[in-house]
Amino acid sequence: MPAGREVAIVGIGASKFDSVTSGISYKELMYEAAVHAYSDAGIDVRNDVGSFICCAEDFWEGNSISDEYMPDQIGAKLRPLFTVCGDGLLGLAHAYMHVLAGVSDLVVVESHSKLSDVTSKDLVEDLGFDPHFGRIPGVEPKYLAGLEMRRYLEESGNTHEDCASVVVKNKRNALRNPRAVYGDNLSNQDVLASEEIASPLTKREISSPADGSVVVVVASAAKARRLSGKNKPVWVSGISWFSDTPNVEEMDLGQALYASNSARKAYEMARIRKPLTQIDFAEIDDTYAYKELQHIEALGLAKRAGKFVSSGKADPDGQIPINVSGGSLGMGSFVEASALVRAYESALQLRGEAGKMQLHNPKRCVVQSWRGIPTQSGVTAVLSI
Amino acid sequence: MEKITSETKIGVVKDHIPLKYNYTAGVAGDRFLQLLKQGKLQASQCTQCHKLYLPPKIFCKDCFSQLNEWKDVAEDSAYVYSFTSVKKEEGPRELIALVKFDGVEGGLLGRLKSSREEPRMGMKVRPVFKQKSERTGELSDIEYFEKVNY
Ligand SMILES: [Zn+2]
Repeated sequence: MPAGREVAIVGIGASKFDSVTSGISYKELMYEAAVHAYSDAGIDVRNDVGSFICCAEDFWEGNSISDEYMPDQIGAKLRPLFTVCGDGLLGLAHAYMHVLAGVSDLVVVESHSKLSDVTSKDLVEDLGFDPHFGRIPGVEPKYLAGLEMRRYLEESGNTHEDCASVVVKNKRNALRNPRAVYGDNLSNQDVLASEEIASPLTKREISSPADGSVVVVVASAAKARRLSGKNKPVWVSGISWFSDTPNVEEMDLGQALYASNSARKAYEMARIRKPLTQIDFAEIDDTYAYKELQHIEALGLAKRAGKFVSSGKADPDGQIPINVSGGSLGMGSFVEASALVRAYESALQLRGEAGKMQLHNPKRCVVQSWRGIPTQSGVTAVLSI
Repeated sequence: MEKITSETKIGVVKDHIPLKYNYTAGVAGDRFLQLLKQGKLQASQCTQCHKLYLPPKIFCKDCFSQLNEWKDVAEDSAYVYSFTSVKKEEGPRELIALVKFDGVEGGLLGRLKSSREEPRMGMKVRPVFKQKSERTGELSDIEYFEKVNY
């Protein structure tokens, strides 16, 4: 079997994405995404799927044992199901392993956000910090993003202006994405002049919350061939995940080691030696504007990401389009589901179904996640058609 | 599939989660906090790879050894690794810094005493402890870090 062509995404589905999905429960969002994905893959979920993986975190769900609430709305009643307390791309990694391990030749991955239900988002973020040494009473948990941004800019030589260009680019890209709710035409000045939340980080450099669910159907090569209906399979050519220390005091805030390490491994699996020439586009984490720059560098897409973005090389018509979908800055942050949204948008691009955002004949992309503050964890995947 | 829409206002249950925990600091954390209460800073040391951990741990994340050695942290080696001015729900903004110490893995998070002078990256600082009677054996026993001119 050719390397990088053993496991494929054969179906994708999404619920509606919105800043607030009022009146619709997270289970109904999941059901909507699932129905779309199974129809896209051309499968009968109750008979064909041998393994289900959800990605959710109890505090964001507002429910302990939240995993127990997942089966029915994705067709997993009395089927093998487990929930990954991690981001959606980690779920894709598990699906990849399930297929290769022979657990099932058809695996479903789901992740969602109903952030509009979470009225104390800051408190949930704060509770992610170490109780003895990381939580600072009365202080906004994004203090860590402020610390990291300043350190990263200092070490990398990128500028605050460069971070503003990330926001301008992604929000402009989002205007062409019918699923994006945070599109805007801004200037660098609009970004830099917005309220300082944790200096130097300003309000407009922070992705805003969004609701939605994404379901991805993953298959073995043989199964993908048997299914091959209307969709070309999107191959998971490489996937890897790393965690650095959870201790804020010991973190290397100057670089994203979880991303550079997982990228090295994922590239190796996908036989990518020169990402700059072998990758056609990237959908990567931009929870905060500076993180996109840090991740571009970690993924080896540019040495000086700031200049790369501000000179237009990451634009849809640039050398490597980055977050053509609008990213989290343009589409919203779906917490654990953000990266599965990136994978969904990537699959559409590779299948040539990205509408007004469609790039010219892309063959291969990199999708990357970060689990947010206060973590140094993330996944990198290479998808190809 | 038909688009799911909501025509009528559907009820929302408002609730909160009043959870309580007693977080155990552990062997290393407890010792560190006891010493902190006395106004002392100690790190645990790995005898294999010579790393000093602050806040202390009983394990080395690099070589996986168990750590039993303790060493004073040279307070005059403290510097600002990064800092941020944070917006608060109420009251004035606050300066938060991650302070590191030469030759130490890790460091301490704390408040930075504001002065007319803008803080700088790499700025030398020193920890200022609360009055002995006010200390509680928590990280906040360090009231703030302040700039020093060595
Ligand atoms: Zn060691």
